[in-house]
Amino acid sequence: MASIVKDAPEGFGVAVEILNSFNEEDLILLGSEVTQFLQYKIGAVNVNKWREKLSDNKNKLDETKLQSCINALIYIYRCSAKEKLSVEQLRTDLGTSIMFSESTLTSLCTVWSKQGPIMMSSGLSEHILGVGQLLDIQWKVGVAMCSDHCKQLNSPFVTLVLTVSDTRGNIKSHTLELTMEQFRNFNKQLKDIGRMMEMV
Amino acid sequence: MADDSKNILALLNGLAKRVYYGETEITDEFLKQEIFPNISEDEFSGLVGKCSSLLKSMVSADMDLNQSEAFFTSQMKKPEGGITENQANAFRKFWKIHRNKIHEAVIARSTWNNTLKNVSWRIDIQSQARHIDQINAPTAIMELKLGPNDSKNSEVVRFEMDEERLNNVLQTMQEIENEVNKHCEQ
Repeated sequence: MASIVKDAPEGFGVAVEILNSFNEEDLILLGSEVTQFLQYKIGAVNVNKWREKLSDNKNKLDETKLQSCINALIYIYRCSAKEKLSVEQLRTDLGTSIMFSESTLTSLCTVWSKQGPIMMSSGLSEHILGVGQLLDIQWKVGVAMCSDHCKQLNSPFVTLVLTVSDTRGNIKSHTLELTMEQFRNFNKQLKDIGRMMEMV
Repeated sequence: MADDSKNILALLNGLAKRVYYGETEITDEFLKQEIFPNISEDEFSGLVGKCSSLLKSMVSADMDLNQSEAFFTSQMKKPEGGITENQANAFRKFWKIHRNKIHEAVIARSTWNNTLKNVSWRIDIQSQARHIDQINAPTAIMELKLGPNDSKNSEVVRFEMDEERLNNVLQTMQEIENEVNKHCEQ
């Protein structure tokens, strides 16, 4: 079974340190908002609002640091949903590291006790767990010259083999054949995605 | 009757629907009833035979305008079993409308691999990341529906791509497009 703490991305420790500095009530609210976000109930966690709330008169909390805290929470709760952790299991996993203060541990688990069951219900898990990765594309261009129905087919086509891994690490290859029109259509959609990504 | 341009056109439409567009419920009996109720069975089956075989030749060669004109002329000149001027007109009209559509249908019929039936996508946040800062980076999630041309069965392939991966894919697509343009005249 994967461990939240052991498999954490770089920068996790620094983010947790900052989480430790929040008071219990704020952390519970922030954690809850993150779970709402993961359930697609809100479009994003409002960084500006939280920046105001969590800063004191002396220092304004750095935006990047706050985002990394939010990301750490996203990571923790997404993993918990994926591994279907009970509150006790979450506490145990996080407890294997000394980076969490007792108060932080309690707050995180309080949120999970309320939101966990909802997030792990069957309808949502597929959305939350994430999807596989596209590992590789192989391709070939051919021309269908003739067939039993037509001696003058003259039809160029593209054959693609997509290698995809799923969230559990299983790898599968998928073959598809496209006419030139279908290929150009597909390419156009990919370009549309590229444009959208740039705008985000 | 058998010479009437309009009727021949209707017959050709019916044959195309059955043979190339998959409407197998259009039987010979149905066609005779609808188009040539008053001619004999023999005359009708001769007509269907002739039209089918001419159609087959035209489809097989994917005849262009010049080729089809030459073809009609030679068929009209035949001393026996040829076609009349009216019938040639029907063929002419039919071919103008259906040539490309039939060609595409024939191509689709000889595509036995899976084809791309549907593409949907959305922009989302990344689910796997090496660094905490990347967890909120935009990622594209694509869902492809793949399946054979002649069946409703399909499988769904879902994956995410970050900006880097997407750019790699776009590059690959461009490579393919370049190669195709180099080798084909289309």
